[in-house]
Amino acid sequence: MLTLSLFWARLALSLYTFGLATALITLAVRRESLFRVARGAVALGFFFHFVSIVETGVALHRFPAAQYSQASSLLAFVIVAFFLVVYRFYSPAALSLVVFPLVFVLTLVSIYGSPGVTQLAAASSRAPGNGWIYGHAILIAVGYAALTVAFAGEVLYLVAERRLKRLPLRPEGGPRLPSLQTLDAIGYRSLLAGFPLLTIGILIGLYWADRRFGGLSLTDPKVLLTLLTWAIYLILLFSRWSAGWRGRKAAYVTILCFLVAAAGWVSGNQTGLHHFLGR
Amino acid sequence: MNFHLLGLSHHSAPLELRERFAVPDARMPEALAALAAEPGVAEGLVLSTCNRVEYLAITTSGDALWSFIRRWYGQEPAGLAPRFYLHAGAAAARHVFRVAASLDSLVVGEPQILGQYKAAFQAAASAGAAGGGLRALLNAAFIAAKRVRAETGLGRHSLSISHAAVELAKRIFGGLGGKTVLLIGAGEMGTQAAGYLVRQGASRLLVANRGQERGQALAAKYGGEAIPWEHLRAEAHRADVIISCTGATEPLLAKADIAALLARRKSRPILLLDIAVPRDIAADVQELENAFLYNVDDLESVVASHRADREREAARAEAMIEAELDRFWRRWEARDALPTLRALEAHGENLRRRELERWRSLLAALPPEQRAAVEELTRALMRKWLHRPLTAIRAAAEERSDLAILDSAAELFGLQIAAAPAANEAGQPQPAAQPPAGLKAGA
Repeated sequence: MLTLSLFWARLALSLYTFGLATALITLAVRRESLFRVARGAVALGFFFHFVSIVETGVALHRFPAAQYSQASSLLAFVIVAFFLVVYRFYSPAALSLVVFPLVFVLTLVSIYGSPGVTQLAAASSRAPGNGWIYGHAILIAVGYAALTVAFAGEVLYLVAERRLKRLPLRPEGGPRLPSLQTLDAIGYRSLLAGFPLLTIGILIGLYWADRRFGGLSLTDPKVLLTLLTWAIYLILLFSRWSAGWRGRKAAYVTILCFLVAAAGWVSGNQTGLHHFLGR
Repeated sequence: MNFHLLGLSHHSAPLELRERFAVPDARMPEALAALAAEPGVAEGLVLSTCNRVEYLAITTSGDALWSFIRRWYGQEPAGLAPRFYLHAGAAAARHVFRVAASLDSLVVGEPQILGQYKAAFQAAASAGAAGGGLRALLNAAFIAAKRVRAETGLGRHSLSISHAAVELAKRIFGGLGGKTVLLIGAGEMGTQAAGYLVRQGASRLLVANRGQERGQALAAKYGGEAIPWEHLRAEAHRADVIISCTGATEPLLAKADIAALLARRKSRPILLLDIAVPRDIAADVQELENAFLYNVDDLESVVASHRADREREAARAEAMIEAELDRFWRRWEARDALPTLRALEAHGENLRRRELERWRSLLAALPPEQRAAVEELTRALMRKWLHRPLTAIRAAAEERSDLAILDSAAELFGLQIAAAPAANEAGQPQPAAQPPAGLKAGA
């Protein structure tokens, strides 16, 4: 069964790769009408990715998020889902320039990278209420996916803003970017959607850690970086809402927030998903 | 009698001064009647736009126009004479051609001026102030302007300002739906661009103009709202797009004004289109985050209409204007010879008819086709015989090389010639700095 799920995952990766290549070409030559080929390939990849995750879950008799590779696969899957939802509202084809490479790397890592220790399974198997920890994993993944899309929107915002500020203006060359207002809205609304999910995900994690270990290990870099991500997230949203932060300032802070989250994710690869789970 | 043109424009006078001399539509018939009644003025028209006020007339001298200004405005515009320009003869015609072709406009290539010139002539014709002379000049100028528009890229250049404004609005806001446009100053290009943005979907137009009446009229035209000039800074934050096109010599909006405006907008981005020359908005505003400021040159570059292209097109247009002007001026100069030419042609035709009459009884015996052949033969003979004298007279008149030939022809052929208009003056521009004594600087 696991061999079969690997087959579906590789098929998904092939389609993501094709989608990424097609997106790069169509955007470079400004043929956005052909972007639907890229989106179609990624959507099909998303379907096979889903099949792969289900197959893995069925084979392991648990939700497949216990290993680092499985969590990467889940995150890539949720990012694609989030992108497809955002695309439905804003059609920001250029967003794929940032999102698709990240999805490609995460899926690649999930297939060919070291699977990592199956900590969550080991830990959760010793504790009652397994469902909580999977809820934690899914909600955190959605929160990260929202942050990834917001990051993509803000990176493009900085590029678009630079193009508009640089004088003399030139006829727009390179990929056609969404308007500043659209990019700002993608950034802000993605954050708005992701924040409550990330918050609930963290709270569930805290609750579970409290029940399992009688408290949280603040020596875990992933925990620290996730809490830092959450704090920046909160400040960013509050500033946008209350002080009207937007544009370049908001873009820089969103990018910082994403980088902290990414550092947390990478640290998970170094130490296992949570190093305290190995105790 | 020849063309004389006295005027002031954005090149020579600030808006405040142009506004002082502008003639509102409601008073135009009265002004035209006064101009036509001025001694020495045969025909006249007044062109009054935001960017220029010009008095064009067929007169014996430019003094008649100065005299009209003194009489009409009831004042001695002391010290203002250097702000005016005065052209006479071919120079006046050239100025009309260039203005009609929008080569003298604030934004070269803008299309409104042609319509404004047509309206000015219509008003003058309706008031009985303009006749055949001005009609001939303006017809030729309009033909030249249309040729410039059709055969050069200057028209595209003008449109590019509005297109570029919409293009930039799309790049910043994604579209104009729900956006408010503030027009500062009711100049031609600004009005055109604001109207274009409204047609492209902008929800609301605010107009702030020094002349409240004109601002209100423009706001009413687009279902917008006129803002009192003194409330400009307090109200500007409502706009997502500001188009500024005033004749102010100093910037109206400084960096601090725009920073305050952005703070009131909670940093929502604002698009500032400064199409005034000199600029209305301080250039360092572009340093502010969320403020996107562009001037005329920037806007042109958006749609790849580079300065070099524009200059090349303008040079082509100038050459076209010179060719058309030359053609018109030859016809205009030859107008003195027209009575002689017509008299000579009539003289030849009379001779031919008289001879045919003498031979009528003999010709009557001929079959119809032979009678027609004789008719054609005599006509051809007369045409050929008169060809050389007619050509020589026309050429001499066009070149103004030897106008005595007109008298010689009359004497040689015994022509009875109707009174011709007085020969025009040299056609050289007169320096504007030589107004009548009452208008001299400092007088």
